[in-house]
Amino acid sequence: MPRAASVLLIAVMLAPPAGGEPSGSGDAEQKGAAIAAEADRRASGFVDSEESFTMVLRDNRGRERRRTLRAQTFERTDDGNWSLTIFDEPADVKGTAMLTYSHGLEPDDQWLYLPALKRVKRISSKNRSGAFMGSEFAFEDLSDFEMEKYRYRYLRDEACGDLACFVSEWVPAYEHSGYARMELWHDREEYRVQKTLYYDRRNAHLKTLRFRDYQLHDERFWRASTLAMTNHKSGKTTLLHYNDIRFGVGLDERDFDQTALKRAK
Amino acid sequence: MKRDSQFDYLREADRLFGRLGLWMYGHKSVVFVVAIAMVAAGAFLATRTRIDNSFDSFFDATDPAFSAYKTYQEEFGSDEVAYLLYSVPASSHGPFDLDAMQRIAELTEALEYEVPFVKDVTSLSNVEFITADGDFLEIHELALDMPDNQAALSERGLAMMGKPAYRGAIVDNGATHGAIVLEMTVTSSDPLDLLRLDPDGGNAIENLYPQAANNRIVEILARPEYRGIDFRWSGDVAMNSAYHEVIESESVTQTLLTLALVSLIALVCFRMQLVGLFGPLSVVILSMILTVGFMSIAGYKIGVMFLIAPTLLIAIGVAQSVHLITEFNLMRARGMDRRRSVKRALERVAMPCLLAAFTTATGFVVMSGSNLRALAEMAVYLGVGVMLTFVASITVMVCFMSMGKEKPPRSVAADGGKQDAFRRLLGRVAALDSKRPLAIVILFGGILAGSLAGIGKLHVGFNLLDEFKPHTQFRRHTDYIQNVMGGMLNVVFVYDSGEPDGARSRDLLAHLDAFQAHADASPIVEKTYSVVDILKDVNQSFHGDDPAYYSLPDSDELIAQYLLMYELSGGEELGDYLSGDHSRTTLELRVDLTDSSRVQALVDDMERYLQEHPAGVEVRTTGIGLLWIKMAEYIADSQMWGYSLAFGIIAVVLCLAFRSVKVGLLAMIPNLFPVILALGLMGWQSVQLDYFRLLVATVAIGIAVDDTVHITTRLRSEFLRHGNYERAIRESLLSTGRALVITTVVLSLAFLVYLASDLEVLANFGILLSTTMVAALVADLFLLPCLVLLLKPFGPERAAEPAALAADFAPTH
Repeated sequence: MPRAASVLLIAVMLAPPAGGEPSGSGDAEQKGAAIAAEADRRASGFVDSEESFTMVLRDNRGRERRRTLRAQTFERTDDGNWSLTIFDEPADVKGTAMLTYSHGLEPDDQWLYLPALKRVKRISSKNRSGAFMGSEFAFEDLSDFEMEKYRYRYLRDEACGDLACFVSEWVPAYEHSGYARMELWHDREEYRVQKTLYYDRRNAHLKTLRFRDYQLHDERFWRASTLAMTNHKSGKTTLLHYNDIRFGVGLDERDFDQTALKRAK
Repeated sequence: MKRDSQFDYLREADRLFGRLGLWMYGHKSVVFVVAIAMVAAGAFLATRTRIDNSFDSFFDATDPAFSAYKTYQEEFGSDEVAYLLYSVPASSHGPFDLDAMQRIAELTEALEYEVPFVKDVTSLSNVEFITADGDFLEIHELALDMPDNQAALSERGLAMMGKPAYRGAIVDNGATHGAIVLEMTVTSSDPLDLLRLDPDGGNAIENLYPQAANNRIVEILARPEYRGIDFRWSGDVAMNSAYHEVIESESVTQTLLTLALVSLIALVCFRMQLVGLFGPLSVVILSMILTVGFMSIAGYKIGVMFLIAPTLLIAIGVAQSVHLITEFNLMRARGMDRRRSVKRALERVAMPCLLAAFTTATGFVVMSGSNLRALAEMAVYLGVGVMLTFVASITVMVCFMSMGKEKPPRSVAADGGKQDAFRRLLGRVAALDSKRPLAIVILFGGILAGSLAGIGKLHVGFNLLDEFKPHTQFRRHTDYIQNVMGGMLNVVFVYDSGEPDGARSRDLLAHLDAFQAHADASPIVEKTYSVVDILKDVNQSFHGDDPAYYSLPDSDELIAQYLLMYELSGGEELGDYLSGDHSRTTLELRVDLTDSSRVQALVDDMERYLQEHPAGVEVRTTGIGLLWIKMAEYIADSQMWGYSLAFGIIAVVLCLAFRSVKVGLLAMIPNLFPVILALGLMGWQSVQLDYFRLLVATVAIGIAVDDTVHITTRLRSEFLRHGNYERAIRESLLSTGRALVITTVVLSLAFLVYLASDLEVLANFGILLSTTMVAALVADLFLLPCLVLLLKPFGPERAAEPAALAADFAPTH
């Protein structure tokens, strides 16, 4: 999947094992960049993956909408990752599938297959700050991580639950971001993101993303089982519950073309 | 005649007030300290009252229409907006001028990131625009992909003008004006801590929503980078800000104007006598402070209806003071010392003043049962305010009347005895009343009959647009926007399927589509919005922009998949039309700001359609437009039964006070006359009864009855003394008539101060109320004496009562 898989990436890129301090301990900017780079290094190298997950959109009155999806991701080193997302529920969108070629700083390529029309359509939006699928996640929250997309600054060390965390500030370097900055809490041990605060263009605290129930996969990749994004302005919440995550399932490029999109069920 | 026992109650009350006057005279310093303490306490409490003129302040939280509206707001967010309309006079490309578009893109960002309390800003530069190019479907925003030459932008403009969703919403049909819509995060009635710009900045309106947002918008638009683009602004933010500014500034300026006016009148009428100037002034200031202090204790907010309070309380306070001073001066002129004059003034005037205050308060308090919260609250605080004014007038006036030298001033001494023109005029009125009572009664009867016929032509309704005077900025801008873009008023229909995803079924949406088409056919509906518009747009785009496909998709699955595609493509407007669980969806009508009766007719027509074409699910009507109609309906209802109730209660009070049904009912006739005359004239002139004008009947009967109480009380006592109706009428008019004329002049001129308001409705109210006051005076001077002469309500004539004649000069104990 394009975006939802990237949610995973947020958790993954900033995760892997092998502890240790960031190499640079100089000024705050260098240290902040080093933390991000180390988290990225630990998240890379999974080759491909498959998972299923449920997206729960909860409004300010507690009413919910659920979507059940499956996703396949193909890791690429020369460009952004490829992904295929298939919608299982609700029933009237079953079989709808989306293919995404991520391009880092450039807009992604996306194709959508609608089973009701049996047609594939290429879709695009340059609006990175827009909401993803009506959820509290913006497209930019889910896009592939690239070091050049942000400016970094280490802020402080701070306890985060039972863990000790680095707190860093990330400032988007790309155009049209909806954020003035973000604050991330990485645990010092595994470089997993525990919490992210998003600040809008007025520098007001807009959203909080929490990562829960980290699981270690293939003895290497840490993945949070639940991501909870809360929008403090609207009072709405979006939960992503992951299950059945598998790595190295043998996917190749042919599983990520328009023909694959049509036959995805 | 049983006259002695018949009026024992009133006489006893008079004696009590006389004794109170003596006690107060002997304890001036105590009374003074009490008055100062009341000022301090009232002023302290008054500083805590808050201004709020939002719709929320008008309605009770349990009101069904209002609670449906709040539910809608909670589900779909605050519906308050700031609406900016702009044109680019120097460019033939209008809003699609490249330079202007680039600056509008910057402005859109500036508004989004600098204006406080903004949720989202939509303009031509960032509005979602769905296009199809072969198999490529894209949701654009101009600002993200700004064309680099005029030709490309003009081409884009042409494409945008081809989309029905934009025309009349974000660009006008002639492509000469663009619009910017700022959706807000809060509503004016949210808790105060949510409305402060600076949480520690206090509650001055500049630090509160919507003023803070409006001020920033105006400041941004004035920046040099936007020079050459003409802006006009309106919507909830501008309207509520305009109201707040008027309320804050006019409640002060009108108070000062009224005070200056009554000071002038007092100086003229009481011939530069200081007690005549400072006495009434102190009374009204104390009354005002106590009333606002009471509002603070009761938790009432200051809204637009409060604007009538200062002038009204000043007028009533001055009227009561005038009666006291006139009587006091009369006694002084007859050679009484200050102490006895105070006692006698209270004996003769305090009880009528109390009765008058009570009847005035009754006129207000009957409205406290109104379904409209703002009106119900106003009824209570004005009712309490009038009674506090009575307390203030007795307290303060005794202080003032107790001060000074014992020797009567020359002007005062002259006042009582001199046959001035005023006195001669009143004498002629009395003579005319005595000479032609039947002819005068018939004349009044004819006028009443004509007026009653006019009442049948009255039309209740109002138009928000007409509330402000034509010269005010809000009115000018809103008029302009209304002319260019059409309606500014929302009426919303909420389809509730009762189950998640139920609101996107094709059957339901097909009904919505037909219902929307029905609404579009109304001449006062300028634009309609629903999720059907998005679905049609996506369907057309998915089929190569072929207009033939601008239609609702033909299956539940395709609808669901289109909506998913729309969201996956970055579309963000579904939340405006679909609830979070897709169980509810809305049809929003943008309606002209027109006569509320036309909006009511539209709602009735839409609801009739729903009855004839059942949707199969519950459909609720809500929106600001409906609240507006409800407001008109509630005011009309409350005034209809409120007037009847006030009339009944006041009649009963007068019957009890005079212990005579005949006298009580007789006294009500001159109070009916001015109200019927005013309403009848409005009917004949086809003047619309707006929500302020509607108040006239109940307010007027409460105030007009004051003079009737004074003149009836005096007629009764003069008849007791002289046993002759003609003599009683002459003596009453010569004594109390003077006070009646002065108080009517004060009241009428004070109510004309409303003319200075920026609010047209308040100015109209002032004219109407002043006219009513003058009519009431005419009725008290002519109709009531003639009726008394014809009906002889105090019993048969007899010889004069020597004891009563001597009463004025009886020793004081």
